[in-house]
Amino acid sequence: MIEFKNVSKVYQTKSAELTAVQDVSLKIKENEVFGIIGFSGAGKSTLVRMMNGLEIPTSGELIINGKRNDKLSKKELRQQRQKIGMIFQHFNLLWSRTVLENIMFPLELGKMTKSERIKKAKHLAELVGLEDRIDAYPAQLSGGQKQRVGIARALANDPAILISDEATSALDPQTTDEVLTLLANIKQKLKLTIVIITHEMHVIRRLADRVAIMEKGRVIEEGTVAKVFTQPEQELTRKFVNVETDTAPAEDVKHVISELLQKYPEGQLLQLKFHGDQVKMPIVSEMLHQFPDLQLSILQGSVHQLQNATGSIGSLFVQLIGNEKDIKAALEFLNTMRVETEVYKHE
Amino acid sequence: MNNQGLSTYFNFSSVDWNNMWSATWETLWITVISVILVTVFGLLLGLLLYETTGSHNIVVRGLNALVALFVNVFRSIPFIILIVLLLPVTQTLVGTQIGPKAALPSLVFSAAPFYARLVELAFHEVDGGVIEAAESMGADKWQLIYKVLIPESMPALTSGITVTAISLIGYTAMAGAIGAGGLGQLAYTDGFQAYNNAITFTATIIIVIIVFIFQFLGDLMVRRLDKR
Repeated sequence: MIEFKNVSKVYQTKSAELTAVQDVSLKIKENEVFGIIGFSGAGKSTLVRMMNGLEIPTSGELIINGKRNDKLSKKELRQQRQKIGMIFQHFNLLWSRTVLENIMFPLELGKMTKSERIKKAKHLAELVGLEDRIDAYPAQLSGGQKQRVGIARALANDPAILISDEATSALDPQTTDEVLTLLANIKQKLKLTIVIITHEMHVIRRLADRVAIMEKGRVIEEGTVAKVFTQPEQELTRKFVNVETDTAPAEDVKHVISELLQKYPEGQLLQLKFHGDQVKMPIVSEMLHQFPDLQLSILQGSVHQLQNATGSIGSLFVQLIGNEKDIKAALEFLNTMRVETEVYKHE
Repeated sequence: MNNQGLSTYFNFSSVDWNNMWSATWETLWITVISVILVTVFGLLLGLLLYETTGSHNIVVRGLNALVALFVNVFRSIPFIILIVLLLPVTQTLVGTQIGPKAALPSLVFSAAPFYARLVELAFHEVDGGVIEAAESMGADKWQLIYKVLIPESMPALTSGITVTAISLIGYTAMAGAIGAGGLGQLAYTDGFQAYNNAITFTATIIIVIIVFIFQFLGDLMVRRLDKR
């Protein structure tokens, strides 16, 4: 278990003090995938770099498996680091080494013989699907392949903890997806705790069990991914969730809305939000059955699957046309079905 | 003897080829040995400069200032003056003040600080992210140097030593003029002082060829090493 207890990090610059991390307390359980999301400068990188001693907290305690991590000797720290794998946004591979030699790098720091190192590295290359590129140099690889090498290298010493620092931020969407799938596989195959830093909510959705949202050095919200996605408490959390689930109408939809409002001035513009099993239920058609005089026009809709099977969320923009009484009753019906509704008024 | 006219350059029948080849040989071996010594001392000095830069420790900062001063002083002294200045040092180190061996200390004192600066620059150009990655994997200082810093800066270190080697060839010629042997001495004594322009000209051509060969080999190595 990893525990941050009131951890702060203050940088002393010539003119002022800069607080990167402020009074953070977090518990990360063994073998879970813990996501930390926030914009750049929120302090998430500084926070996780304390785990492998790349940053030292100015106050507070960091306890990993019952040991004060910020009080290790140099030698203990080096041993600890060999048990914490890390992958980076810009991969940080050695250009002078081949794929296989890069994966072997962390093994060379330990006491393994050369033949053992090669065997292990080949096995890892296979794990990340690069067995036929082991003699290539990083310059000859695509971004996704480079990150695969980074992942294999991070796993070389059988780490107990894997830190992913914006590992997909420099990749295009399709490659991001490949890398996320690989990480999801690793999570299933290997027993290890994964800590993921990102500014993209879909990364959290794909991989994480729990998530913390950071802003200005503080953790402002924390909980299971399902809970944070369905009931975001903080404004920033809502922003991240909204980007991911398209709940705010896109520009072209706004255009459609204004047209529809002009065409059917009596119509009511609604956003419906479905959580969990509601996504699978025919709530809207049930509503139309009950109020046959109502007409319904769908503007935009989406359903997103969360990491665990129970969590999915849907969002639907509709226009209801009919008399006021029916609309009001329909809204009440939706309410009893526990569908969140939001009424849109066009300015 | 007639020292006038451009045709004297091409009067090759007056060249003693045995002397020419032995002088060429002297120039070559003094260059190779000084390149080796400069590589070793330059790397050490450059590493010292790199490692002590930007430290918060007052002792380390003092050391950095001291090494930087040493490097800057020896880089500032014109080579021809440095040889004369270092004559007593040369006497102590190699036991003689004349001949190719006597040129070595001044060559190393002059070129090693120059190469040290190039080494420092090359190390500073290694990607900080890669160094951080190696640290995060538990590499110690020494592993960081010989597994990351040196291999990752190898092309720059190699092109640096090529440049240094070429200026060393120039220095050996200068040292030759005050008795260190080699093509420089031959061009000065048998060419200039004996009014034999063909000897000066031939020595020049051989030196130019040596420089070209060093440059070619250096470029070839850099291309081979650079996998970026």
